[in-house]
Order: sequence, then structure tokens, then C-alpha cells
Amino acid sequence: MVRLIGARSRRARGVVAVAALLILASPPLIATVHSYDAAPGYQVKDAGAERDLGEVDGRPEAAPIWEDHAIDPRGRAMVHSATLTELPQGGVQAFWYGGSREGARDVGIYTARLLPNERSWTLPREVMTRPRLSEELGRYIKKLGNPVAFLDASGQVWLFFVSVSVGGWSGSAINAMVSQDGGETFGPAKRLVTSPAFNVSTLVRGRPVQMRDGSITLPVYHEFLGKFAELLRLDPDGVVLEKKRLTLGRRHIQPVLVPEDAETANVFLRYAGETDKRIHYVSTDDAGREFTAPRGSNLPNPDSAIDAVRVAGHALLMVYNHSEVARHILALAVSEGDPGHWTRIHDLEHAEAGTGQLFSYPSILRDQAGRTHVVYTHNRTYIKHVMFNDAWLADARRSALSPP
Amino acid sequence: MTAYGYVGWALVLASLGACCSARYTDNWRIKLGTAAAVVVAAFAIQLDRVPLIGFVASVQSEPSVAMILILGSHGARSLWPHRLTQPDTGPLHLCIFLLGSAMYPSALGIGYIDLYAAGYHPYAAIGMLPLAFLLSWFAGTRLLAFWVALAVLAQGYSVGESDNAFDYLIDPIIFVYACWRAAAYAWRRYDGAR
Repeated sequence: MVRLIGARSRRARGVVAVAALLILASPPLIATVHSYDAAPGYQVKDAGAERDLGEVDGRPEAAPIWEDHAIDPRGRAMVHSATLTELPQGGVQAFWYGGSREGARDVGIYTARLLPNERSWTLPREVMTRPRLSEELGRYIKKLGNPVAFLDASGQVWLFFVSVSVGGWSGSAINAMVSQDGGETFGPAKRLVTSPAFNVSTLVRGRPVQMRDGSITLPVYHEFLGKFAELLRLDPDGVVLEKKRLTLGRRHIQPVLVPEDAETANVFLRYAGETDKRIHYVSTDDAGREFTAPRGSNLPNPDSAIDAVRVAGHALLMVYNHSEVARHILALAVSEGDPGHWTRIHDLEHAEAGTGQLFSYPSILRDQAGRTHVVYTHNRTYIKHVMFNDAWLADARRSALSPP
Repeated sequence: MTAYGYVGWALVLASLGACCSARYTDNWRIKLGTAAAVVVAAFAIQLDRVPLIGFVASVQSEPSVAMILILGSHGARSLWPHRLTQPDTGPLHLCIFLLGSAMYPSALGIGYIDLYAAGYHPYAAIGMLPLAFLLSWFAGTRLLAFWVALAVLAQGYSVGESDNAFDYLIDPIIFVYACWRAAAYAWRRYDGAR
């Protein structure tokens, strides 16, 4: 080609070679730009959005329902960080990590299901181990941690989890696996590259949100030099399209993204600082182009994980530790539209302070039938599941609001 | 690790092997043999079912285009010193130093602006295309132009693990190397002016 166009000098040959490379690079770039949408908007499921709490199709639901179950830890001494997802065929599936102790080499990611019309969970099975991940990624893996599961609009079940090759949890990277058969089996893991410095210190805890263009937004956080929250947007193949920083400094981790409609959303944040031990939040009203600065809510936070979900109308339901110092109380709170103001309506667990009881890392999900599921770590010995309907929630709210 | 990562690390390790053996021999066959032995050892020897290269990749996932270009050119000149001329890598080191100095602190949380995040955006790569062409046309620095063009090409076709253009341009190891070269260059200038 160089001879063909008569470029004889060294510089001319270099220019021709570079031009050829650029022409080669153009098609994928043009395709990417063509399909790129900076803020496609949140795809919000109708989780009983237009009705009040305690109503089904405008009618009050018959009776309050409350169930709780312990998920068999299968002999694992330590289990932690459970997450929930709906299944395409109905029912819910939980994932968590378990092993002899946190960070041990035998820690794996486990899963169990609660199928529709069943009263008990299936026996847990291991979906990811350290040696399997090491083999799939072609590199040394030291430990596994926080899983996050998500059912996308096309029926794929995503499983994100963190892995560490060097150092502690601040050296984590995020991995993603996809199931095409409703969470039964998962394809090979893919590592998401989210940081230029040896790809360390990006972790997950909050559930992703479906976007209207088919992409998903995954809340992530850093805890290496800074402790701050970010949002990653991924296309349906798991390609990172965008990264957005939400906070600064060393105070906010484990963001929980809760969209209200296509343009409006709140991100609730675990407070990891020293001075203002409350749940903080940031908000957007332009589908995530811009977020407000972090603000404090009226709920305390002892530097522990939280989760939230939209329940009815503009009402939000939060599960959190109601203390500034410890994780001995796990409570539910409702907000009626102001993400900064919440009413504590029920304690899922309430132990005396100083007894060493820990109830932590809750995950909350509202299913298609309008029932709410919560899973959380019970003293790190088993995962507990609680399920209730809107009638129970309405009763709990009435009791909390009525004078004693 | 992707095919890009395996090939990239093989080139980098082969270059290191060639550079090390060049200290002890002038025979290009021995140097080439050493380079091949290093690559085979890195990929064939396993510890805990992970090849040695997997331990390197557990720290730095895949080498950047800059690392492959710089170490590759060193390795090639070690093998055939009389046939190859030394490219002027000074501008490349300077660019790596400047880019890394701006990008790493911002990516690690200093300030709201995350320069690294721009690398996921297709317009970042589109901005680099004319830059590469201008560099090759006006500045005549072909190495810089190849660096940018190859990185854009690699990101465009998703050959590596990363979806970010900056991961193909630089990596922390080559950034540290560029800092050291920039410091050495500055010291020489200072020492010469004294």
C-alpha cells in the first residue's frame, strides 16, 4: 500500500501506517457512538406504584401475611452478605458467601431458592469457588466476597461479586456472571475493569437498576484511599459504558439506587465517616446526569449496610440498623416521599446493646405479587429470610404512627 | 485474561528475557533462546493450578500498548542492536508521565472529576484519532502516533479485558517507569546546566 500511493520518505510511510490504523479503528467507534445514549432513563417496574399500602387492585388485601425462615448454612461456620433477586419463572433466589471465616480460602458463593407456592428454601449449593474463578480468569485469586444478583428485562440473571488477588477488601475487583436459564447455571466470570490503578478497590453491594435502553446501572464504591460511591452503566453484554462519581472523601460507601420514575432517583449511602452517623443520600431528577451533594436523613447508621425499595406510590421502605454504634437492632422504616424523612415502623431484630448480637447486611426485594422479602445475616451463622405483604406493612405503619 | 493479555505479556516477558541476557552475551541465538525460555516458564509452570503469568496478571491485569511498545523496542534492540536504530522514546515517556500524573490521582478519588471515566466514552477515542494523525503528520513522532492509534484500535475492537481507552494507553507499571525516566532526564538537564 505504501508503494501504491508513492510514500517513500520515512515520515510519509509513518503517516500512511497511522492513517491505516485509524481507518481500521473507525468502524467500531462509529457503531459505539451511534448507539450511545448518555442518560436513557430508569425503567421502573410497577410495584403497586399507584395504590396505597395495604391495597391490591384498589381493594384492601385480605389479611396480613408474615413469614420468616432460616436458610440452611450447609455446615458453613460463617455466612454473610446475602442478596436477593426475583426469578423469571417466579419465586426468589438468594446468594451469599460462606466458609470457615470471612476471607478464608474456602469461602464460596452459595445460592438457594424459594419457589412459588413453596414454604421452605431449597438446599444451598455453591455457584462459585476461589479455584474456579482463578481458572476462569487465568490469575491468582485470594478470596471472594459480596455477591449482588439481578434479573434484567431480558430474563437474564446477573451475579456480580467481588474478588481479591492482593491485600484486603480494599483491593477488590468486581466480577460478573450471567445465567440464561433463570439462575440455574452461570456462564464464565468476566472481570470488570473499573480502576486504572491495578483495577483495585471497586466493590459492589447494592442491586443494579434496569435502564430503558436495555443497559443496567450498577451502584459501586471505592474504599482504598478514598471511600466514595459511584455508578457504573453496563450494556447487556457487560461492557462498561459509563462511570459516574457520586460522592467525595472518605465517608460514603455501599450506594443503594432507588428510582422513582424514569428521571428521578435517590441513592442511599452507608456512612463510613466519623462525624455524622446517619444514612446519607443523593438525588437526581435528570436520569443521573447530575446528582445533588450528599445530605443526611433522620435515620442513624453505625457504618453498616442498608437497603431500600419503592413500595407503593412514592413510599420507600428501608431496612437498616437503628443505632449509631452497633448492629444489634435491624429495623424497617417508611418514607412517604421525602427521602430525608423516615418513620421507623418495625424492628426485625432487637437485641440488647453489648450482647454481641449482630444483624447486618440486609437485602430487600419486592416481588411481582407485591410481597416484600428481606434477607440478612443473623449473627454470621445463618441467613434469615422474612416475607410480608402490604397488609402487614400497612398495619405496621398504622401502629407506628398512632399515638401509644 | 484475554488473548491480548496473553500475547502482550508474552511480548513483554520475552523482551525482558532478551534485555537481561544481552548483559552477558552478544549471540542473538542465546538471547532469543532466553526470551523464549522465560515465556515458556511463565506460561507452563503452575503453582496452585495457576500459571506464573497468572500471578503477574493478578497485580496488573494486562499490559498497556505503551508497555508493549517500550519494552518491545528495548527487547528488539537487545536482540539485533546493529540492525535497529533506537527510537526517540522521550516524548512517549513525557506523555505517559503527564497523563498518569493527571489520571491516577483523579481516579483514586481526588476531586469530583474522574479523568479515567472519560475513557469509557466513545468520544474520548474519537478525540484521540485526529490527535494521532496530527502527531504523525506534523510532529513526525511516529512512536507517539502508533501508541495512540494502536490503543484506540485495541479499545475499538475490545481486544482486552478493559473497556476503557486509558487502560490501553498506559498502566501503573509503565507510569512508574516513565516517572523514573522523566526524573533521570530532568536530573541530566540540571546536571548539564550546572
